[in-house]
Amino acid sequence: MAIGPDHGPQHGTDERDLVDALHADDPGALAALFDRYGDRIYNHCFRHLADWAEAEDATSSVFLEVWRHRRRVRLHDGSALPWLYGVATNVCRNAGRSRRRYLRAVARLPEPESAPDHAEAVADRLGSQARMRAVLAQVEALPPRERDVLGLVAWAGLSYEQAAAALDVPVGTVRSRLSRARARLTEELPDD
Amino acid sequence: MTEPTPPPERPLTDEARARIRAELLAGAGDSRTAGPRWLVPAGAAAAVALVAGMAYWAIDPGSESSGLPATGGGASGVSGAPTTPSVTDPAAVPTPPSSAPMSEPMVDPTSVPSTAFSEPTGGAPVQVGTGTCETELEYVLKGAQLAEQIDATSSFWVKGDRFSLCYAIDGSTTVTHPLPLSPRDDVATFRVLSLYPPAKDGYRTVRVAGGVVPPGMEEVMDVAYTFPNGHTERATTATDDQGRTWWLMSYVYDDGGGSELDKPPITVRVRLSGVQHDYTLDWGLDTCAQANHGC
Repeated sequence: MAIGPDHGPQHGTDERDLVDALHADDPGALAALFDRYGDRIYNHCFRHLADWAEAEDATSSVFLEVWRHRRRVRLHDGSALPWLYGVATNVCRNAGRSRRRYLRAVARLPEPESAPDHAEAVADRLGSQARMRAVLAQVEALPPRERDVLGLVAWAGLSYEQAAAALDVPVGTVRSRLSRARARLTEELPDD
Repeated sequence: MTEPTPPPERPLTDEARARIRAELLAGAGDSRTAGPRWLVPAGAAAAVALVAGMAYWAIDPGSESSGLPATGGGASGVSGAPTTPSVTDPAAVPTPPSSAPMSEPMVDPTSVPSTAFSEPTGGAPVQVGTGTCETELEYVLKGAQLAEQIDATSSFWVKGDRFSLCYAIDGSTTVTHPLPLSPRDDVATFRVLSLYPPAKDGYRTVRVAGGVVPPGMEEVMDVAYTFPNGHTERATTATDDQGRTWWLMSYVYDDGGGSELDKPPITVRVRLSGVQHDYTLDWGLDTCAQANHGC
């Protein structure tokens, strides 16, 4: 599912160096981290927000938070990605709350006339947003902690260990939350 | 069933990537140095300007030149300080164009010799396209045809009334955002693409720009870029088989590391038969002309 040149584990010495550079207040290291993982965080935020434009803003916020807390960046199995996902989960979850409040307010307004857009890319973009909103509606009944695990493991493709590092909980907790989330979804959602 | 499936992932657009990168560098540079607070709003303003500029390009990419005769080349985009190296195995360097320089180039003892790339430190992630120019242009200027192969690394590609510069080195290929063949008199015409390949003792900085020489100006146009290290690099020209003359500037140097925002900007001096225009490239906004990957 994940895309872009920054996908996949790119651990090792270079990431250690990157984190050392962050600790040394090097803005270039922040940019390098963004180059490497920006797409993954962007998509993670989209899965919280169901809006590509807001996901862009959230991605920027995530990396600015990383910079603010750069001295606390830590590696998991040689990679900063799990920690980054942890920051992103918090930032995007908060942004998602605001967005849901906003959408509830907008939903009370009269439906605007639809403006057809013949640009295929725009249609695709809007289509994916609608689809993501539907997905979020399906998982909205889950407790936030279970939603977070679902987002990291099932959607972002993190291992249990990475998700545990991201959320700063034991691996067993990740397993049990995911199991509960899937059980709830199986109960509540019709089979496709 | 287990869980609902989200829609497929997609990458950040180049515009968004560049905007965010510029914001990050502005924000990080600002907080690190506790320097002027105007940098953050300036970064935001630059981002807004970029978005507006992108929209303009998207809506009206091939409009006529607005007034002054100017050169073509460069591209739109945003970037920032040197970060992740962009070239995997830079065993080669941008070869100077084979055509004659517009005027005598200045010699700078601090400029990096070609062999500087011969022993990369390695281990850096690949951030650039790895296809041919034609392949990389598929999503940038689909169907573009080769107009002129300037040298081993640089070529110009044209489709309709737009062109893109392709810079290929060691299997890594960079293409710029398309620009109109009728060049505009603004800084966007002179934006540079930036690469940061690893070298034996760190990273090198590669800046490349190019475009169309306005018809009739072939003998009287001079484009010169001055870099933070004081070096001035003059563009060279070549003429394709359709009679179009292209200018190209490429320069490789060691920028000394650190944030670009702390360095003097790159400046461009364009002389057209006695008329002189000076442009200042904003870090990030005007130094990331590439369209197929970040800086």
